[in-house]
This record gives sequence, C-alpha cells and structure tokens, in this order.
Amino acid sequence: MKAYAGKRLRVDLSRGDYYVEDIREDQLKMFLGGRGLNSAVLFDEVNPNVNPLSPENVLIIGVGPLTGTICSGSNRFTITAKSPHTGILGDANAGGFFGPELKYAGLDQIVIKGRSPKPVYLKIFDGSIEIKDASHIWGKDVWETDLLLKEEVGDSDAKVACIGPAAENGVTFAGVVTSLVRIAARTGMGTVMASKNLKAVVVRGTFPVEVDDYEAFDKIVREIEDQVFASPDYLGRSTMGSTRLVNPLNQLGFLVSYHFKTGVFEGAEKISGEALRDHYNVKVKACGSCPLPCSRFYVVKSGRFAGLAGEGPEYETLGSIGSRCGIDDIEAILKANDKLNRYGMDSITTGEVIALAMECYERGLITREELDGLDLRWGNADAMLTLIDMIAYKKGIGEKMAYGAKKFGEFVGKGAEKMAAHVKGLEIIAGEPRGMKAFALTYAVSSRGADHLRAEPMFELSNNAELAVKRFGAKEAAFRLEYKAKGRVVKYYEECAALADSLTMCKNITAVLDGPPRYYELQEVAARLLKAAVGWDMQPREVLRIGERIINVERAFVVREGITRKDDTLPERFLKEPLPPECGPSAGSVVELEPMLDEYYEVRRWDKSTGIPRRITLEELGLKYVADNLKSYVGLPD
Amino acid sequence: MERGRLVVDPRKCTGCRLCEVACSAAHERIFDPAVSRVKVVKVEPIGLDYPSVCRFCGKAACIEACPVGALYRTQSSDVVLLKSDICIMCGACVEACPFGAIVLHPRTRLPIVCDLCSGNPACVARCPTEAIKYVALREAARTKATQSAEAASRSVLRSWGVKR
Repeated sequence: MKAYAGKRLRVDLSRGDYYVEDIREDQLKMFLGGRGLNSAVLFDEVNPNVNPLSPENVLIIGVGPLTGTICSGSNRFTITAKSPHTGILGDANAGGFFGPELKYAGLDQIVIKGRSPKPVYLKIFDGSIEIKDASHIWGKDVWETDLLLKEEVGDSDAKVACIGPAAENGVTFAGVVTSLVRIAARTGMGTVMASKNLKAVVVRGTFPVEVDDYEAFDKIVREIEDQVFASPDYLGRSTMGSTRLVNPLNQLGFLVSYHFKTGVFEGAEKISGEALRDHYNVKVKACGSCPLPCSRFYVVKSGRFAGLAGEGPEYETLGSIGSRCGIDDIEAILKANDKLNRYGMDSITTGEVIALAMECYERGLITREELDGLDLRWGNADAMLTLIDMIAYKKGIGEKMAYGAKKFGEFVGKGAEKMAAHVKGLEIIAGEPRGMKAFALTYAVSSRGADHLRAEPMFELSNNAELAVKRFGAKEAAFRLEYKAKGRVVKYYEECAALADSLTMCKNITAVLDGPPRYYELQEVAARLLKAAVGWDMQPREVLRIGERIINVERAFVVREGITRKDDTLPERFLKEPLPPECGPSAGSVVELEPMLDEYYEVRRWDKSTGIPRRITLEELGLKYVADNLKSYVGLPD
Repeated sequence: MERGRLVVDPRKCTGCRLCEVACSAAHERIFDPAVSRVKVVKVEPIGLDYPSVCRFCGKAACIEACPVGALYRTQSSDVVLLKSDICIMCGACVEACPFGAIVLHPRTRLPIVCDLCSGNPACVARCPTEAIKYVALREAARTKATQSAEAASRSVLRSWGVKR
C-alpha cells in the first residue's frame, strides 16, 4: 500500500502518553484519508453525550494518499472534532505546508483526546514524538507562537499548526493556523484544541512519499498541470485568486451587501481583487506542490496602516468584513484580515456577527450604550476593528458576540434571532443564496452547517446546457437561478468535494479540472491517481461511492446528534424576501428550497420526510455498522 | 558554448516547492524535499521565497574542503561529482558551501550535490512561474545588462519618442 504512511498517532493528553498504530487498509479503502477518515473516526469515537469542550471530545488531524506528492494542490490537511460552535460535526481544512510535512514525518492521522493539566505542544520530528511544555507561549498570538516555536525546536523548516488568543479565550469560532496565515477556520476547531490545553502541533519530517507506479503517476500529474495552465480561469486565478470574484458577483447582483439587504455594493470596486492587485500586491504565492498561485503577498506602503504586510485576504474576507458590513475601506479590511490571522479567528463568522450587530443597530434593536458606545452604522470600519479586538478578548459586547451570530441574535431578541444568517449554527459565507440555488441547497444540507465548500457547485454558473443535460439530465443544472435538477447537482458535487478533501486535493484545482478545455470528471482522475499512487484497482464509479459513503457517515453523525429535515433550512429572509430591483439579473429571486430538498433526499436515497438515511442506503455503502449504531438513537427508516 | 547554470528570481517564486519534490522525484523517484538539491528558503513574515541552488563555483569550496578528495570535477563539466565509495560522510562540504546548497542525505548520509539532471534540470522544467531558469551565465548577464541599459537610457529614449 504505497502513498500512505499507514500510521496513526494516538495521543491522550490527560495521561500525557501516546502510541502509534497501523491504519487498516480496508478502512482507507472505505474513507481514503483526510476529511473522510477523520469523519469515520469521529462517528466511531464521539457519541451524542460528549460535550465538545470536554476531554472526551477527540481532535483529529488527517491527510490523504496524495498529500506530499507532486500532484497539484495535494497539500491540505483536515482537522475534525465535535464543534463547540454548532454542537454537531466540526471540521476545517487548510493548505500551506503542514499537511505534506505530517506525511513526511510518517503519519496519516493524529487522534488527540483528553485534556492536559497544563499548556503543552506536540512535537513530531520523524519518528520521535514529544509532549512539551507550552506555558511560556500560552497567550501569545499566532505569529509570535509560530516563530517562537520554530526557534525553540531549532529548525526553521518545522511546520507549526497553532491556536491564538481567540481560542484560548473560548471564542467558539477560533481556528487552527499554519504558515502564519493559512487557517483551518470554520466550526471552532481551535477552540477544541484550546480546551485540551494544546497550543500547537509542530512537525518536521524527512521520510519519503512513494507511489506504486511512478511513471503513470507522473503522467497523470502532468496532464492535470496541462489542464491548469490551459484553463481560461488561469490568468484570473493566478493573479487575484478568489478575490477576483468581488466585481463579477457585484455586477450580477449577488454580492452579499449590508447584511443580505441587497446584492450590490457601491464600494465593490474599492474592495475588489483588481484594487488589491493594482495597489497592494507585491507577488503571488502558492501552497505546496501547486502550479496555480492563488494567494498574494501584500504591502501597505502609506497611510495609517503603513508597513502592514502579509498574505491574503481571500474573497470570503472581503465579502464578509467588507460588503456584508458596508465597509469599503480596503486598508481597514487588510488590517482586519491581519488581526483575524493573529488572533486565529474565522473571518466569515466574525464578519457575519458584526454585520448582524450593524443591522440590529440600524434597526434600533440594540442601542449605542449596549454596544459600549460604538456607533455601529453601516460602513464604520473603525468600529469593526475595535469589535474584532473585543470579540477575541471577550470584552464588553464582544463577549456576547464571541459565540457567533445565532447566539448573538438570541441575545438581542426582538426578531434578531431570525435575521442571523446561519444554518445549524454555522454562519453563511459571502455568497448570496438567492443568487445561486445549488449553493443555497449546499448551505442547507451540509454536514457542518452553512458552507459552500461541501459541494462548491460552480457548475451552476457555467451556462453549459449541453453538459448539464449529459450529466444531470436537465439544462437547468447549468443556470444559477434555476432550482430544477439542483438536488442532483449538489449530490454529485458533494461527493466530489468529499473526494477532494480526502485525497487531499485543493478545490481550486478540482474546480479547474471540472471546466474547459478537457472537462475532467473528478472520479475518473481520482481513480487513475489512486491506481498509480496506491496501487488500488477501482472503477471511477466505485471511487465516487467513497465520496457518497463519506457524506453518509457524516449525515449519520449529525442525525445521531438530533439533526433532521427541519434543520436543513435557510433563514427565512432567503425563502421569502426577493432580492431587490437594483440586483439586476438576480432581482426578484428567492430560494425554492422545499422542491430542491425533495429531489436531494430522493437521489440520496434518504427518507424524504425526515432526511434520515435509510438502512438499505447505508448497508449498500458498506455502512451496516453505522446503521446498527444509529438505530439505537433514532427511528431508522428501512 | 558556455555551460548553463541555474538563475533564480525571488519576485517570481511563489514558494510552492514544486522544484524540491521534482528534484527528489527525478533522482530517486520519491517525493521528499529533504533529499532535494534545491531548497526554497521561506521567510514567511516578509513573504520571501528564494530557491537556493548550487552556484557551480569556479573555485568550489566544497571540493576544497573535502578531506578525502571525494568531491571532484571533470574537464567537461561544471557540476561537482561525488565518489561515493570513498566519501566518509563527514559533512565538511556542507559546512564549507557559502550558499547552504549542499545537505547530507537523511538516509545514506552522502552529500547531495546538484548534477543539473544531465542538462535538463527537473526543477526548471517543473517551475510554474519560471522563477528558476537554466541559462548560460553570460546570457543571464546580457539580459540584465540590457534591462539596466534601457532603464538608464529612459530619458534618451523619451527624447526619441520611443515608448518602452
């Protein structure tokens, strides 16, 4: 079994000990690695009685068979636990160089349980593992921690995944950061890490990653690179990354603005990828083994933030901290991005909770006094920056905002609870659901709450009617404002996303593979890669079923936590309030959720009335043990 | 014709380290930056990515430092070669290299020295942004000289009405 390290490190921080075990090949064949294998372990080891911040919760870090190879975008790691932010499945992933280093250190997965009596960090150097005192770095921000630890271990090539003050202070949407800026941000995985008194994982490895058939593997990877370079998206992606989306989304009328009041923002140009490219970016950057440099290093040369420099931001930060709050001050957004990286906080959730507070303030639901004197009108960048500090350290009103939009809406009351833009407790990204129906469905059904990366069905923006008919049997699949066939679209792309997260391959690469000129289907590429890398003979259809299996085990986990169809929904405004007239091509649109859900459950072969996977569906995916377990918690339909 | 060498441009380097994995793949058919002859130096707070490569010094400190004469050169080549059977794996060459371009192999403990992949360097072939190029030094110098000549003559060119 090539490509894998074949090893799992198990750490018990309560006892201060650890051991390394072999990972069974049949388990890898079922769940691949990364997110898939993590979710399988989470289902097995964390039951509904476990409090996410208790020692019984497990924190799982995983990489996949491609991680550390030369394959494009094979650099990500996933970190999984029961989420303290949502109470259901939590996971987040990040690129950079930590994932490959973990593989070079000889591990595919780390499973951490317990709680250390004092702050510690985990040091993994090739085969040698140590639990080291971290009392002296507790309280330090992410940048200080990263640099101090590299110095302490005496190796500047070591890779650090650490938490910042937000996690230590119990903010429930704190992430885990590597390479200073690459944050596994969503669902509070940093908060879980802090609850275990674990400040960081420091990794360095020199072991090789070998593949089964080098020539064949190299040939496929070159084909992938050819497709990347030939993609019509290459220029935009390799100069502006995700920030290229601000202007086009605004032109199409679905750039999240003023907390979803509208889909157009008059300040869009000022916070666009083009503005960053022309005035701030000094070079493009990439994660490990990636030919598509989508990240950028920026420098602010003058003004009140002169000297500020770093990587980023992503579109999600521009859309969440910027247009969603009505803020068009790009330098303040860069400063916010820098603060969020150093504190180790999710920019999507932070942006949503601040934008929600702004809407409450504008509507008179919360007063200036209750906001500690902050004049939280739309676009007040200084108030936004102050609030980020107050949230990270739970000062004043920041304490009420530190648990996310759902809790803050409940605190404000008077209808604010319905305004909070979340699904299952996780805040919606800066992608207006009324402007993209398959994305809307993705937010509603995703196993970690409102999230686009669980499917990222960019296909619905392709307008490629011919391919839509071929793949999904209906031309509507290729048009973003249509709701028909979107159940099938989301099912397929959810399975692709699960494969990408488990192989691991970045979705910026899988998105480019899915388009012109060659229109690859991911399961076909993945089957060839797995054959060449690991030596497994699997048909593309079987590979896609791995994705389906991962979706089902995650669904089983959240169903066991009490989730059913009634939770697979969106805030009411997206179902009832049409996008206003100024939204041009998107004006008048609402989300037709119920028919999309019906179609989705049908193609998923889940019970339509409850959204619970049917026994036969689970059994056909080799998940009889999951069905048997689930049966003791919920009524399991046949 | 003058022999080629590796010329790097930190403005173009994205820090992706494809050169490192490509190097290990070309030489050992494995993916392992620890055995790469190219090393991307990263200073993350300031955004610096710099592929550190062998400079094929005319007066090579590594060869001079070797106490047993295991490193040598032939008349026909700029690259430094290794007699692995007499190398005592002492690391004197690593200490001597002023550019940090030599490391010891983590498993064999032999020094890893750039061999330019017999004239078709894998790092260059795999670099997505041409941050590492394989060119004759004379040609690299001429490119630089041309750029600097144009820069220094801007006012002259303007007076001629030439737009560059």
